[in-house]
Amino acid sequence: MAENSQPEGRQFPPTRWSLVAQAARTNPEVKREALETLLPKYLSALTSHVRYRWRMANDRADDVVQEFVATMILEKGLIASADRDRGKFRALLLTALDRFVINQLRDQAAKKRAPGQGPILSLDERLVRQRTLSEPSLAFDVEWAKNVIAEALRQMRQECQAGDRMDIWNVFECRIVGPFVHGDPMPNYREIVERFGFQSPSQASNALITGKRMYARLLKSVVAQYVGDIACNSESEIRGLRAVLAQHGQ
Amino acid sequence: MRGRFPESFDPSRLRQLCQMLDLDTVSETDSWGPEDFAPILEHQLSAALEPDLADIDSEIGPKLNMWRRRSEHPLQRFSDLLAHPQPPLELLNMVKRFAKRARGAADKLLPEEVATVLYFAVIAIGVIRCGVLISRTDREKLHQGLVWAAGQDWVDRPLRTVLEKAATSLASENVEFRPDVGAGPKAPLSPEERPSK
Repeated sequence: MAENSQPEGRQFPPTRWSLVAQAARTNPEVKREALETLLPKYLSALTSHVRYRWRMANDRADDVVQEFVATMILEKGLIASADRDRGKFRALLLTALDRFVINQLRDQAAKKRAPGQGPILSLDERLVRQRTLSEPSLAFDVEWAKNVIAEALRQMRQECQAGDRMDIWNVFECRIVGPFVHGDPMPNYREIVERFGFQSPSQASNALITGKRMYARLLKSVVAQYVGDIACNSESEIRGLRAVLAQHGQ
Repeated sequence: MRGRFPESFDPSRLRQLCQMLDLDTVSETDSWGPEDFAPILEHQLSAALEPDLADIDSEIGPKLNMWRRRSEHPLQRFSDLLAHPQPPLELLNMVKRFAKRARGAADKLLPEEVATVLYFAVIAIGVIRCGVLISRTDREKLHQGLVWAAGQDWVDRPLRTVLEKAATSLASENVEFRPDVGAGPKAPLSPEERPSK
């Protein structure tokens, strides 16, 4: 596997969102850094939502999301003011994004209208607005879940590398990541032993169990960065993300 | 690691990806499936005794050396113990405790089924080679366990034969076995056999 195959700009920050968002309101340098390092991780989820829900072209969706992030998240402190203990972080973001898109569309429509005509939403827009605010977004939630999983995996690999335990990562990648993330056939016990040279079942099981526990810990940690540090919030959010994938995987 | 996730919203792919968010799947459930039982048992029997038994008895190394000196038969691997004509009872007890621990441990170092077969295998060896019961479990339950182990289709023929033979012996009310559940006198190590500090 290539060492540097992880795309750049897809790393979560070491701090939690709320702290960065608060700092970004007063410190331009922090704001710039946040834009460059913190938010790109989540942009794909937001952009996917705009593309699929609002049927915008990729470039246009990118612009809208960038503007949403700069205005609503960084300038207006959307995240900092969120009640994250309730575990509604994704819903908050999505609702705010939809309202932002509607306002953008309304502004565009108003500019096109002749002077003197009122800023009235068209019937189509009102229907879209009604539908948008009441339905969950598959594209958003799926992309979000993928980002969370990818980040937990990235951190796990990094931790294994730093601890000189790539044996743990390699077994986990082979037995868990390949089949569940990439759709590879699941290697059986014999193949795992032959590939990694384990001397006994205890040794093989130990490596796999250690990897699984490490991943579970990091998954909770990644989620805790946006839902807060309370363990039950993390587990509840993970269950929620899982339910989204399960629902659409039927 | 492959950098990007599949773009697809294909339901079957999402179902697979779902497993990555199942904390039970990724952390607590068994690591291996039933199709792995045969190769795991085979691997366990071919594994060296000393590393796996180090947590059971800290003096396993010197003790193995002592037993090897006392017999011309090899005693390196689990399979050597099962093939030994006069296996040390203390060693059978150690493997029994190893299997019991592996079966019940949260870490699940062995699938429960494999650990259970290993557990009954050493009891069977004690019965048919030494005429000794290394278990306090009553004979009827032991018999049921031996029959269950012998009935697993992933257990190879030689081991199945041992298990069946022990089950038959245990079912015969005319045969008595000496009890030895590992609490009796252990093989003493001579001063030169003790590990240096």
